[in-house]
Amino acid sequence: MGLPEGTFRGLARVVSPLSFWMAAGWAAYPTAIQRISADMGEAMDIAEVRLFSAIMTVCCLGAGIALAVYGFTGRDARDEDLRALAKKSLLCPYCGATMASDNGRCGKCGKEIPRVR
Amino acid sequence: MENTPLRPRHLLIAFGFGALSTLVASWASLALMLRTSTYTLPFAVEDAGLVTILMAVIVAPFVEELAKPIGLYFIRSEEKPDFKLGDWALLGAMAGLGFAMVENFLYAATVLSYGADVSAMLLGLRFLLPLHMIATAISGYGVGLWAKTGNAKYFAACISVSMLLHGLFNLAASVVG
Repeated sequence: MGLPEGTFRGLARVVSPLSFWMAAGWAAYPTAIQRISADMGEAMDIAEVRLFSAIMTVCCLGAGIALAVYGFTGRDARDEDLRALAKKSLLCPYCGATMASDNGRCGKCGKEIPRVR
Repeated sequence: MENTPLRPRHLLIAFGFGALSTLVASWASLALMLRTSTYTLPFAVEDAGLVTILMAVIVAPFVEELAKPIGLYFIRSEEKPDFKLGDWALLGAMAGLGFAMVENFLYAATVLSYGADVSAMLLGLRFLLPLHMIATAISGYGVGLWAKTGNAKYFAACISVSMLLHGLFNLAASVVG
């Protein structure tokens, strides 16, 4: 999508601990389900749930580790690089030209472009 | 240029609106399912089980993922802050937590007839899996990318990923139980 390198590091840092939380949750899931169904007086075949929970635990652990490695190593994308993506699509309000320069002036007519955040 | 610092009130707004969005999402899901299934599906949905799965896998993720970041849309349009992208994800996670709190309590309340112990255990079980936090963190990150680049396509991509993740999770939960 043309995004600068390291754009998703911030997301990885937030989602990584949540993935570990999810992995712990899936690990405890079969025991919790078994207790709840016993308390509700319902017989339940737990083997399928155990298998699925084991798969999910491994997947979430793997995702958590991968996200932690990605999120906590290397540099985040710079805000300037991200804002540059917006500037590419800006049109000069005076002459209609696509803005080529990022110094606050239109590259074609030279008029000052008001900064819009 | 300095980024806007994330303040507790921003987290509170995200959390509060996330909690409120439960009501919006539940009504919208129901209305959407009742109004559109008759006209849009190429078959008559008479099987109650199929309706439940369709609701869980398609309708609920679509409506809920759009509704949960209401607080983030509000912050973005009212304050126009320049948060770091990670802060937007954190706000999204808080909105997801608010949504999950209300949804889980409502869900636990529906099984109160089995006793308070079962209800409390079910509540605990639902908090073990922070799906809403993960999905809304991704949507929140999308709001951040949208705010920084001014291009809504990044938000659309992120929210599509969170809808897909939510739908797959609900499908797995429907199949495995």
